[in-house]
Amino acid sequence: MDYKSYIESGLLEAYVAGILPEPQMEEVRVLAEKYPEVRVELDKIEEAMMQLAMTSEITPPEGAEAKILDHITKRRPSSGGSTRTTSASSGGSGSGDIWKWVVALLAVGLIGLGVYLYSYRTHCEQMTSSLDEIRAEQQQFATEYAGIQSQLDSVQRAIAVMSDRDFTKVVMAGTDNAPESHATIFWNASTSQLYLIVGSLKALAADQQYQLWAIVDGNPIDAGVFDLDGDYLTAMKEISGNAATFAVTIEPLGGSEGPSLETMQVAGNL
Amino acid sequence: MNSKPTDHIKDIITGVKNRDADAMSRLYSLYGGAIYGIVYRIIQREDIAKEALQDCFVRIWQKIDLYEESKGRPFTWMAHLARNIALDKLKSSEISKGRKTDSIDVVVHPPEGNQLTETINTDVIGLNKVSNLLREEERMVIDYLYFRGFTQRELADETGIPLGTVKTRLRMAIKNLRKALSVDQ
Repeated sequence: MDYKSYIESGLLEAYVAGILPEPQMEEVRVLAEKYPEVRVELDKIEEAMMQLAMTSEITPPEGAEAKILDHITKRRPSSGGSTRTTSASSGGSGSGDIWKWVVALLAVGLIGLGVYLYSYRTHCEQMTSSLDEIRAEQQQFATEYAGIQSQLDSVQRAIAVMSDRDFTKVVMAGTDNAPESHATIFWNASTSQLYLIVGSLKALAADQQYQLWAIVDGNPIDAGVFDLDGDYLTAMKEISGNAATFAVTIEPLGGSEGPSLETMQVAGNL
Repeated sequence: MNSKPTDHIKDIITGVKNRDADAMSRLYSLYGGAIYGIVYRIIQREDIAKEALQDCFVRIWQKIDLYEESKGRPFTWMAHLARNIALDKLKSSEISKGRKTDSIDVVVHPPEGNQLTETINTDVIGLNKVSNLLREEERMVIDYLYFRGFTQRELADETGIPLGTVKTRLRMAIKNLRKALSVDQ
């Protein structure tokens, strides 16, 4: 696995801050155990966040510590309690006393059962609420993840196209209609593949669309319509032959058979 | 106290695992303030924050066997517990609504100075250096995500900052923090 990009992803920081949904938290723990490099990085983040928490500590209200210690030491006498009962019952010889002990034991048992049931119920309530929360978070995360993944795929495809020598890059500069606009195409003459990256184009009315054209042997060939909210790298129609120029015009929704030249926004020669 | 608490924290954890209440007391004096800082900043009400702090340490005592040293530092584990408990308290008490929406404006455009800077600076001198090194927007991200219990999505929604930017800022903020605290040396 590519642990370097994992380290760079920001997931480890989010893990230490405790803000990832539980499945992702577990994923980080597993990876940290598997990859020492991840463990080392995580440790440094943990150190930083611990120091941050330590240096921004707030003095707790009085009595909190006593309550905690009280609570945890109270749990222990349960073993001490039972030894006392055994020694007392063996020591008590009067036969009438036995019933007292039986009643006392039953009472202790009932109280114990009550406490157990109560804590069990609280536990169940807590489990249900945190489970709901985890589910909601997980769903949200899945949606986010899918979005980021598709952006990432698009950028990765763009990089692959840009670094492919068989693709010719044509920068289309803004025409007089739109001097600030620009866009770039990557065209592979042997496979006819054509991709577009929009640099800057103005937003269009709802009933309009941009259309890309290739001028092949003097004739404009439709290379497809596109919108501004698409992927970073857009695959356009395949163009074969001796393309000399690429240009973008504004056309009615769905595109036109021939370009409306007066609306040309960007153009560039091979 | 700032001199590597990691050395004796191992002993303390072993003590707690062995049901030593005294070790628990030492754990509290070491991290009680930091944990209280975490829950208080999320809940922002002293009575409930105190309850959360108590619950957290009782939970630590009960669940200490779930903590494994190989999976990270005890403090991180405790901080996660604290955060979850604080968020649960917030949810079950009536104060949750409004807290988040109210506070954004207060902190993004605080009436007087940045809140996080204030809380940090008043506590320890060492962190002046740190908060100065962080850019305003990085401080805000740390404040909201780490100290106020926001998820990254919530912060993005509230502020209109893209989610990806929130994530990058968190990473940059912690990177700068590490630099400032000399963690990377």
